[in-house]
Amino acid sequence: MFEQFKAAVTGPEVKAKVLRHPLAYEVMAALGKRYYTRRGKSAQGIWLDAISRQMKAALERKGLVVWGNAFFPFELLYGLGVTPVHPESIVATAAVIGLSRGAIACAESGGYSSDICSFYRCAIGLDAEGLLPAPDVVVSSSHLCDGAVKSFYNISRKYGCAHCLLDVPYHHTEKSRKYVAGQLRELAQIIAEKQGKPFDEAKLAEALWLSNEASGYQLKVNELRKKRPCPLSAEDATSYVSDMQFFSPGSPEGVTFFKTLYEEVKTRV
Amino acid sequence: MADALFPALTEMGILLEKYLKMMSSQTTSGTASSNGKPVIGWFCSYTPLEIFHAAGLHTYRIIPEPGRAITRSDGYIDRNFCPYVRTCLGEALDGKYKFLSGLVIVNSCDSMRRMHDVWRYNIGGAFNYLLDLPRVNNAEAAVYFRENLHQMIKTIESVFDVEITDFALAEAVKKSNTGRVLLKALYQSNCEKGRVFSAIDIRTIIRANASLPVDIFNGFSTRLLEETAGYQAENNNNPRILITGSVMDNPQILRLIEECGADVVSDDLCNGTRQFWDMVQVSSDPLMDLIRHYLGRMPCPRMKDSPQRFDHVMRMIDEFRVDGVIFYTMKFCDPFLFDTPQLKEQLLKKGIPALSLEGDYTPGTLGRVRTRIEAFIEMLRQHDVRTI
Repeated sequence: MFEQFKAAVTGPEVKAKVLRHPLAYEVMAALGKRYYTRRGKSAQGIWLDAISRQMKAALERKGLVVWGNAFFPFELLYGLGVTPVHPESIVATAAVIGLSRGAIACAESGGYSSDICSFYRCAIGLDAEGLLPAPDVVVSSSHLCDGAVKSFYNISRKYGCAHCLLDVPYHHTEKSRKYVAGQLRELAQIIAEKQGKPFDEAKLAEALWLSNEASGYQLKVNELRKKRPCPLSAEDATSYVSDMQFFSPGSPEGVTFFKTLYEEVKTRV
Repeated sequence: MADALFPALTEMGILLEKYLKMMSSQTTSGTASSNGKPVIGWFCSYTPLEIFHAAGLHTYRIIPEPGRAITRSDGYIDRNFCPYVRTCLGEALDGKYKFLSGLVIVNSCDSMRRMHDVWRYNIGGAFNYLLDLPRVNNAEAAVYFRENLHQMIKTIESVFDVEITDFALAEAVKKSNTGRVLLKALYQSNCEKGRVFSAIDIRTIIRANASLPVDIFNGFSTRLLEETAGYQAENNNNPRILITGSVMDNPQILRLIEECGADVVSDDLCNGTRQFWDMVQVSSDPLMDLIRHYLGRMPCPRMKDSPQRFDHVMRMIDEFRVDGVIFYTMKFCDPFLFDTPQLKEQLLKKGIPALSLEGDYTPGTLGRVRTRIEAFIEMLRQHDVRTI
């Protein structure tokens, strides 16, 4: 699928033009879903459909566009009903379709050292090339790495939008939980204010329920992975599956994805 | 340069050498320092040293010299990792820090956390403490940080069988503040045209501040300040440089810059002004004073508030009449390297030329950067305002 897409959009200028257009993602969502479903990989089709639709919505500025990094609790974003953008997914996809080298070179020509995290260097480059939807708000979690916090902050400065840092403590204590809870409340408030509507805790509860539901299926998948031969390839587990693990919790697509994945993997045992 | 003119600086340097030699020659675990106090190793300028001083402990900043033992840690930590952390670990694995009775590592960045892990599992020690530090400065962060400091105090009291009283803490804050005032005054001797202290002199003073007992350092600094009073530095036309970055691993870089005909007049370094620039504001609650200080002081890039640091650099440029800025950052240091383009952009707007160098904790850096430094200084002499 990716090879065909890559072949179709040859040359950096053509690629960039195509990838800036929301229609490209609608086409990718439809074709991708059909392509993978026909090959018995419905879960992968759901993944491509979900991330393509999110990109389309972000490019069309449907709702508040919020950039979030891996390890940020996406349940909060889905509970708030924003349009999330997760640059790490896009960077990984850009690498597959051959866009990362140019993006990294673009970031380096903008003063970024070649010694810093290549994921975020690539994200900054893709943004500089106009391939990412501009954020209205940027959120990042300090867990685990430093590059996410710093690069997301730089992006927020570029667009003059708010950067909300979720500072995750190292120690797990009552006070550290309160510290995180306070930050999440404040963050939800900031985003709700920008949306011009009150924060609805019931919607967050629903997102948490969806997250737990997806998590339940994921645990079942992990149990199946213990079988010999392993019914889920490492390539799948570390690409679109881990992408959904990071960025789908709290969404209905997350539940559909992990349920489908479980059913798919079960047939291979 | 200045040590021949100022006997206090010469004596400070001699005592520092003696002190460092005495410590590194100890091969027994937990050997007491010369003044009979257990020695606690520290790395990050966010370490609240006052707490250790209030406990009657001696503190020693671990800053290895370049070229030592960096490959020794390769079996434990990846090569694409902070060279400072790799060198510290390499030396520790070689047994260089056996004299320490304990270690405090601030959770300042990912590299520091990993150092704590490797040290804890492979080197050990009765007191190997990871102090968590929030990245933001607000009321909730202060509450969480207070709990962390309380926990650390309790651990120190239990491991070293001491009591840390509010009175002792207030006294320790007072002495540290005296050191900060003196250091700032010594730095500010370089504000006027024609600097008093060379970059190497400043390195000696900074190292002494981080390693000698506070009273001894304060005594030397008071004398040094008296000796510099009324001293008229030779007025030269050398370009004036500010160094910004993470840790300065190799003072020879500074010597090289000065040999190329520039004066390094100030810095924004972990083992530079960030170690002392802001005072602890004193109230009746010394622990709260420390919390406010460490969360609110001029930040390093690991904190959320980067603009505060950029503003500080801009103020330093004005105060020290800086002509050019040299970025000197450890390779693979995400917090600093992600800040570089933003700070460079601000410098460009201000018309201050900048040069970026990366250090890797090996002496080889020197040869690689000589030509670039020479070209940069030549450009400053010609009043060009390009950034390199």
